[in-house]
Amino acid sequence: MIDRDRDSSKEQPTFEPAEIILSNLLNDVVCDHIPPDLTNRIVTQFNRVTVAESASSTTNNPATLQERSGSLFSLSDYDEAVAFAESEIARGYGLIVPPPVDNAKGSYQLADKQLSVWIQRGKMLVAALAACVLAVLFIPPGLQTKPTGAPQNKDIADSQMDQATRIDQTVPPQVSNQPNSIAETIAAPDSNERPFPNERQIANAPDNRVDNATKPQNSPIMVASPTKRMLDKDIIGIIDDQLKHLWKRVGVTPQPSIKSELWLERSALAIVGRLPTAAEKEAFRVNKSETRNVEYVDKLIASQEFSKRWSELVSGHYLGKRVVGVRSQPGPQLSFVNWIEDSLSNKVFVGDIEREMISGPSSTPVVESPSLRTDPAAFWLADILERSEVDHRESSEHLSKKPLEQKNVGSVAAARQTMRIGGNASMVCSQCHDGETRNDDFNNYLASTQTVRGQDSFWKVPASLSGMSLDRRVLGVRALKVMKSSEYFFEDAEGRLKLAVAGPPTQIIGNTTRSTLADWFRSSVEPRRAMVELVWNEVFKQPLFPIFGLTEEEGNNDRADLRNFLASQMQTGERDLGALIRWMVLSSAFRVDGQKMDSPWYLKATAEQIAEAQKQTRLFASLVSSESPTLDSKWTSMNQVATWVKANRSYELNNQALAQGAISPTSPNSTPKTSKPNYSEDQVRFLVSVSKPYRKVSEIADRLAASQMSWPMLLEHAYLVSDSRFPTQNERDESEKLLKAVEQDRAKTLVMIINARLGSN
Amino acid sequence: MAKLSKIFSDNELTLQPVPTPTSDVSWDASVLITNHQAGVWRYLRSIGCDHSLADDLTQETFVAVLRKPFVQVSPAATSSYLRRVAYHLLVSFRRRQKRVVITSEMDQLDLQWMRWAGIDGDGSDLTEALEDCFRRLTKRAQLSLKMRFGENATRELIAKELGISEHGAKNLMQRAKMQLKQCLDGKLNRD
Repeated sequence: MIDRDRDSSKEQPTFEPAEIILSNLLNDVVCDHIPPDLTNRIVTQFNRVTVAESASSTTNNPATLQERSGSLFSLSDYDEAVAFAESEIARGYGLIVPPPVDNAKGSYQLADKQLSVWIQRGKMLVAALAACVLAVLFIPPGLQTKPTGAPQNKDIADSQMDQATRIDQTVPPQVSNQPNSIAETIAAPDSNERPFPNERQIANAPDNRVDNATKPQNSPIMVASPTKRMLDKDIIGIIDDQLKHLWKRVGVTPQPSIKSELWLERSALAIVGRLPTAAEKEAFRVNKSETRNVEYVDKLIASQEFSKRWSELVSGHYLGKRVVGVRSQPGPQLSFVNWIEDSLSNKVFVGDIEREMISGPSSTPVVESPSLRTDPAAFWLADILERSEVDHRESSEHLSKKPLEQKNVGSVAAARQTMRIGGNASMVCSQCHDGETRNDDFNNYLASTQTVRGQDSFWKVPASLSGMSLDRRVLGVRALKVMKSSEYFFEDAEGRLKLAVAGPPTQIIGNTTRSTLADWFRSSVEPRRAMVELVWNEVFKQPLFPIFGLTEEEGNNDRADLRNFLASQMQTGERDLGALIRWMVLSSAFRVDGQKMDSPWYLKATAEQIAEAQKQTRLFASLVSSESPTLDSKWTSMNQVATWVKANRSYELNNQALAQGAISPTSPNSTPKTSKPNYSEDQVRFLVSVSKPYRKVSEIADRLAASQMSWPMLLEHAYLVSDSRFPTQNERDESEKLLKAVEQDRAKTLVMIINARLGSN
Repeated sequence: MAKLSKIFSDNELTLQPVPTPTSDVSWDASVLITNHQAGVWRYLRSIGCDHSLADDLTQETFVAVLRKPFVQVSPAATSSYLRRVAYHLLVSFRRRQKRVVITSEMDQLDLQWMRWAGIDGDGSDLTEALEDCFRRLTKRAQLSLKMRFGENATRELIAKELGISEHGAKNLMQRAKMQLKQCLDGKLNRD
């Protein structure tokens, strides 16, 4: 029905919306079909639904509503559709028609440029001919060479045309420094008129970023076609333009670009996790090529250091834990990380890695066989199950929870982790366990299976959770019927509470198998969003689209658009992780100057400076300095700190011990350890550069706490001081508990958080 | 309009009062249905619904919207809002049928509709323009498209009727559709 010619023409795999609409309308035109008058039907059906709805509410049996009214949809379907539509219209969707971006437009622009080149060449030719004529007429015969005629004129003309061409070719780099016309960049990607800008071009580029601060403009993402595979340089241009669009819209002036040397350090830290060597710096200095930045980044990404560093980060993302010091750990985890490392070094598409990991070993579906622990793909699930069950056993001993056999602890943990990898970053318990909106599918599923381990049905859980998440989201948006545990929800721009975007599609409930889910991971763009978020967080030191605390002014939609765009480009082009990092590192946004928001800075800064710096970093108009300290805390979560505080009411006296991570989280009353702190390279550099760096933590905390800032903002400052990044959602949630544990004393809580993160006092 | 009011009163059920805080246009539910049902129906048809599904979804769209208090901000916003509700109901319907829904493609269809029909258009301009463009085609092209889209004829039958090869029939129809698309772009250039 959609397109009658598509079914038989296999040579037309491309999706052409205009042709499909045309075909569908042609059917009505040639058959003289006109829209029917549905007024009676609408009114009758509306009355039926209203009656059924009121009957259902009195009998408290909503399941019969659809049967009574004979409707195609349930009330939740209606609510969901209306809520989505309201949200879209509120965001401005459908109120502006974005201009079409197609090859035709690009060809027009290209044709215009070619025409101007030919006109210029024609002028040169005429000038050359005129010069020849004058030479023949006025130069003395003795000075004239033999009349070789045309070839000589041709040489002159060619040389002038060559010169013109050379001049013409030297002009575009200046033009390309002003990437205002994204359509031009996208529509004619092969024209080679937009090389990667070097640092000089960036520095010399006119700064017109705040000209139209209040003028609404279309997002560049809206102009780009995310489903088309684009060239790297165009994707980088889109990142730059999208952030410039954001800065213009909110009236923020970005920091100036940094110098090459600092960019080298920043890039090396982001890509391989270390500073550039002297040899690398020298090689970069002597390289006068315009593409030396690209060459430098490509070389780093091709190195083994890159795959080693990022294999640990990606492994941590997949396993849901920090993977540090993995080289010293024998066994399956090392195999798993090595497998990821091999995949990264071989430039395997991320979707293929995830599909293999989710689908597991093909020989047998049993996941707990000891022999399969050596299989990297099997390790992923086995590790999650094992950790969750160990955690549950430990907590059940203390908290009198139900025995493990009565709960599907491992399955829920694995499902939750699967959804997080699949793009649902804030999957939390309360999305299912509020006691009001239990999903029938999930209840039936739990009732029918005593344990899910070793059964293929395990893989239905993510889709079931996804379905519940959707249901709850509708309630959250429509009626604010959220539970008291509202901290598990995030606020939208209008202050309403919302749940996270669902992960795997709900329609695969019922026939889902592990391989189906794995295929979804391979073919869907949602898991790529999670990867974009991970990489952006590592490169830019803060999330691209945090699930909490992002105001409308901070570019809620713009940032979501950018993340979706990058994810879709990853998916469409089946790009590897290196490509994604390359786009970010080579973008102009990665060149904006940074601010070292460390202890001395906080002590000197005024309240206005603090607020402005925070706004700048949140908007990527300045980056958190890569020279700031980053180190591993002994405390893996604020939950542990809160537990310790409850057990040790004299936390004020033991703050130093807390800071050093000396007290075991699970044994509150144990004695402090005397082990030496394990300083990272960054930490050593920081300790050398600043004497007694953490001495005035209390003073910083007092100054922050005395301000009028809200707790989430204070927490952001605490994490900027300690980790040079913004807190994650979990860290925000846990900090609230810590705040309650110390009786809402904001200053004390900040001191504890900073000390716990820094590991010294 | 009067007929609709009578239907509501006959059923002894009234729609919820509709606030119009930001609009100076007097507006009620009957106006909403009357003014927008054709647009929603044409929109659903153009993105691939058959007649019965377009009828059903148009009906369900208005039921969904009228269940809640409705605020008329502007005709364009209302038109877009109704289209989006219809769109999401269609997605929901297809997902329930276990059919794969590629929302990015549906979004492209939606954008194309807006480009041709306009933000607040009901598609009547688009249909008229298409009829006009269709009349400008050659007789052979018109015949081929009528057979294809009106009678659901196979390409083989069309080729036989026109006395050309199957490949020629395919080319003829493709060229005709391209001309129609260009003609529509020219007539309905709303960018």
